[in-house]
Amino acid sequence: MAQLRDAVTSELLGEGSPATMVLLAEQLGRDDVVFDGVESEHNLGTFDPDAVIAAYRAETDGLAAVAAATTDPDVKAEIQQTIAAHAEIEQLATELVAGASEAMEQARARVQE
Amino acid sequence: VTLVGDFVTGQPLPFQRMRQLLADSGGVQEGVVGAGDFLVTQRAAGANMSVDVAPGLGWIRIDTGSRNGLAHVASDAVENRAVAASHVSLPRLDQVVARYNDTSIPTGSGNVPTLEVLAGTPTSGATLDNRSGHAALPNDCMLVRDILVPSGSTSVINANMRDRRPWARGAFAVLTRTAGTVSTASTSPTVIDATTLQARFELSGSPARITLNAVGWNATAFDGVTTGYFIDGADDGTTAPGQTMSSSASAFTNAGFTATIVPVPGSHTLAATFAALTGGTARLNSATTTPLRMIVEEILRPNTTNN
Repeated sequence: MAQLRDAVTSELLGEGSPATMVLLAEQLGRDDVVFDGVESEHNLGTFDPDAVIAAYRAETDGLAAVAAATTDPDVKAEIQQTIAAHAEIEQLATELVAGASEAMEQARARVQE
Repeated sequence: VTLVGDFVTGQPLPFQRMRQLLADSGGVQEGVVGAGDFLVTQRAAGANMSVDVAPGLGWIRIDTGSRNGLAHVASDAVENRAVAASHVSLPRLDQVVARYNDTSIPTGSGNVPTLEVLAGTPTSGATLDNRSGHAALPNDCMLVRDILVPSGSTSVINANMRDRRPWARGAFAVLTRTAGTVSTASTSPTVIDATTLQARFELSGSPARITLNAVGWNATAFDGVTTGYFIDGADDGTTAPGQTMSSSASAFTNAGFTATIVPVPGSHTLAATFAALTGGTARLNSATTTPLRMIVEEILRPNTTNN
C-alpha cells in the first residue's frame, strides 16, 4: 500500500493506492510531502508521480471511449463499473485532504515546541 | 584439518559443525519458520514508544567466524521492547533484530538470544523505502522489522513499521482474486488488482518463481491481453511473459505465465499486471471457478551450473 508522509517530520498523512496518494499530494503540495511504500531501497527513483497520474487519467479516458463504442451491454456495464471505481479514487483523495492537512500541522507544531 | 567427516568414531563434533550440518541439510535459510513467528506489532496494551514481539521459531545465520552455520532460536512468549524517544526535528529509521549469542564465538554477551531495537541516525527525509540513517546490521543478527520514528512522535504504530522477516523455508504465498472480470484499455502494463494480487515479500536473493493463473476473455475478436508482473512498481525488463489473443469473440484463452527472477536481497513489492494488446480492451476472467491466482515461491537452491 502506498503511503504519503510529511517531508519534514515523516509523519504518516495517508495510505492507499499510488494514484490516490499522488492526487492527495497534489492537493497538499508536492514539496511538502514524500511518498513511501512505492519503491524499495534498491531501486530508488523509479516512482514517477507524474507518470502514475498520467496513466491513471489515460486509462479512465480509454475505458470511457471503449464503453461508448461497445454495443455489448455486459461489456459496457463491466467497463462502467471500472470507471466508477476510478472516480472513487478521486473522491477518496479529496476526503483525505482535511485529515492529512491537520496531521501535518500537528506534527510540525510538535517539532517546533 | 581441512577435510572432515562428521559422525566418525573418535572425531569430535563441536556445536559449530552441528549448526553447519543443519544449515547444509537443505531447504533452510536465515528466517522465521511460521507466519506469525517474531512478528513485531505496536504495543497491544496501548501504543507507546515500545513494540511487542510475538513468540516463534527461527534460524539465524552466524556471520561471525566461518562455517558456523545456522543457529536455531525459540521464544515462547510475547516480548516487549522499548524504542528510543523520537528526535526533536528529524525522523529516524530503527530496526528490531533477533541476535544469536554464543560466548564461544563470541558475539554478544552470554549464551541467550536477544531481541533488540537498533536505533538509527536521525536523518531528514527518512522513509521506510529509503531507510536513510539506518544502523548497519551487526553480525549474528536477523532483521525482523523496520520502524520509522517520525520526529516528535510519541508512539510507535503499525503503519510506521515494515515487516522484514525473512522466511526460513523460503517465501511462499498464493494470492487469489475470485470476483469480477477485470479490464483495461491501456497498452502499458497496469496492476490487475492492488488489493488482492499485489503484496510485499522479504526475499533473500535466492531465485523466486512468479506464476500467474489467468484466463483471458475476448468479448470481441482480437481483443487480446498480455500479462506480466511489477517488482517495486515497475517492469524489471521482462515484459509480458504471458500473452493471448483469439480471432473469435466470446473466447476464453490461457493468459497465465511463469517467470523466474533473481531479486536483490530485501523487501520487494510484487504485483501481477495486464495490458491490452491492441486498441481494444484486455479482460481477465475472475470467478470462484476460474480465479486469478498469483503464486510467489522462493527457491532455496544454488543458482549455478556445472563447469
